[in-house]
Amino acid sequence: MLGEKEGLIIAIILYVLAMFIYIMLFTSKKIEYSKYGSWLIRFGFIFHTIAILNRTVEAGRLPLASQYEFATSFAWAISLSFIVYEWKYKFKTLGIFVTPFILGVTAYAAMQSSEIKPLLPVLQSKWLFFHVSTAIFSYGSFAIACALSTIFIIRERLKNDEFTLKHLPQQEALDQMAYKAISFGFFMLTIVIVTGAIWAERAWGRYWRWDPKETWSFITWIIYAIYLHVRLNKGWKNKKAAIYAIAGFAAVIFTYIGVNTLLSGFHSYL
Amino acid sequence: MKKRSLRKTLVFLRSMKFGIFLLILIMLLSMVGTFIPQGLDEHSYSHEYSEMVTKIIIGLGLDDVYNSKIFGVLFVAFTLNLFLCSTSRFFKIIKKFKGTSSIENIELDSTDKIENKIGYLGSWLLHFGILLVIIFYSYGHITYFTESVYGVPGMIRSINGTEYQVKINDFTIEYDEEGVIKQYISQIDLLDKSQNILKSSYAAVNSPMRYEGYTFYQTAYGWAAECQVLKSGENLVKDIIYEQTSLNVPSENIGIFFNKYYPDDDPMLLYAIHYRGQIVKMNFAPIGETIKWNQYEFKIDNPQMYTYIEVNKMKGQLGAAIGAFIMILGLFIVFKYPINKTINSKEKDSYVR
Ligand code: HEM
Repeated sequence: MLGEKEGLIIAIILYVLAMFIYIMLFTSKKIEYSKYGSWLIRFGFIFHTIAILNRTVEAGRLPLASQYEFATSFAWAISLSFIVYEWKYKFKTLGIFVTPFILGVTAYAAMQSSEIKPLLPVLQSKWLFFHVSTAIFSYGSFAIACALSTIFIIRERLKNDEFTLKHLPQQEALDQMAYKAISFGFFMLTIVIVTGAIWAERAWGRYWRWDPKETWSFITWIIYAIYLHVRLNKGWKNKKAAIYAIAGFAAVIFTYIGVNTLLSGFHSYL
Repeated sequence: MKKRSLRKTLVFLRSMKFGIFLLILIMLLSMVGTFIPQGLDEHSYSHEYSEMVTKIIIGLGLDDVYNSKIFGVLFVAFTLNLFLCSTSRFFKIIKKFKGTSSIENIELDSTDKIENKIGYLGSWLLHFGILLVIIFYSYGHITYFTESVYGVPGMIRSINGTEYQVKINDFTIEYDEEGVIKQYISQIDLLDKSQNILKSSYAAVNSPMRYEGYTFYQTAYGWAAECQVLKSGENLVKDIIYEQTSLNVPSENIGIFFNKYYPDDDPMLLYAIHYRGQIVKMNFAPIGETIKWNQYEFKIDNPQMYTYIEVNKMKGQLGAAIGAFIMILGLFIVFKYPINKTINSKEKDSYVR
């Protein structure tokens, strides 16, 4: 029987292969390769799903309660989003930008302890699961916005490379997609903060106590609120907006990883 | 002239530019609060930072950023900005809905017009919701009350700062099949001044007991035991002693510190006896055994779990919750019916032409 660990290892191998195929696609300028890359990610996703199901059964709950569990679920969600996006938008080169994210997050997971720990009583709350599962979508959307913005910048630099230009979406489309992703991420982040506040109220008696994780999600929220305003009001679009979205993602990463490793707070067991 | 400058000030105060400026400052100050440890005493800062930096930290209130004056002023200014901005936009929205607004709407087809109106309404709701959250949160933050009580079953403890008393009836720890702690549950009665029962309920993790705005949380637990101190066979004091606390006899200048309890097959405890401010003996002892030092005797027995309950009162929670709901609803509408459609379609038109 395929266990969690084996499933995950096979998934990682398939993702790595996919990334190589996508790199080859660009170096040899053969768009047909995208088909293989795409299938490799899909197979990787199947094994990833098996791994997560295994853990769910073993732990008797959804795997969302430790850094390791959050990271594997997060990578899984990115993989799923890729499959949906690629299918919907027929965006054949998307894989080259997404596989590094999937592998980056999985590598982070691999550095964490994968031991199944029983849930501390304070983590046994349905609000916590709302909180964490919405966080996956929020962070995921900001990651997509960051990737799309990176493509925007790259595309601008490669003005003479016809192959790349042909297979990357138009600038305007990239800009709009990034904006949509940020809007959705912002909406989700608002829900993350509100559900987190409700949980904190039930667990500690204060819905907001400025602990570092809370504060950093608030900071991230403000950063993207400013993005939405300057875009609407000052007409910040295209390159400026793309650079802002890439920089803004640093705050997401810090909220997710930096706070746990560099700062201490009530969330440190998560 | 005066009227004009007043008007100019008002326009500035309600501008988005000013709002964003304040948001950036609030954000930066919030960051500072996560990097500088909060709520320590001056001594600890001077230990960690140079004299200059310590002075700045204390002077600006960066040791307690979220309660500092600067933070308060920024929040008040932001609230004012959001209030003025929402108020002025409220009237604009009414005009839009009456259909007497600017020329831009006339150029658009009818579906766009309706969507835009809904979008504006959504945006207004969103900002109004944020305003409510800020106001109710600030109110709750300023009037926040917190206390704690702890004890072993059977005890009645009064809550400082209130007229209530808590009677601890029972404290249990639930385990799952594998022996892992699942839940801590305190069964408590809330009593008034004359010991009438106001409410009898339980407090557990993630499931507090509530009464008239007060919330009772199960936050911690530990070991307590009965402790007796004797001198030449004569009782000096007898009381409950908690882990990490001392039982003292001031008249004799002696006391015993209950360091830790080890509830194994042979239950042991780690203690320290202090005399005239000095530790004179520190050792492990089986529970219930008499510990001797000179003519003094100490007896620690009947270990039991004590429960630690926090009592909080944060006002304005309902208001903040309603604000949050309005905010999310507004956001949903704004992103479903984007406002910038107008700008886009106009831009595109002119571009094509
Ligand atoms: C934490 C604070 C704030 C948040 C989270 C926030 C959020 C938003 C969002 C999400 C939008 C919609 C953007 C879009 O459709 O792409 C928006 C629009 C807008 N915001 Fe804010 N906002 C905040 C503060 C402010 C302040 C202080 C002002 C004014 C001084 C303001 C004025 C506006 C205006 C004028 C619009 C354009 C839409 C309209 O006119 O209805 N916002 N805001």
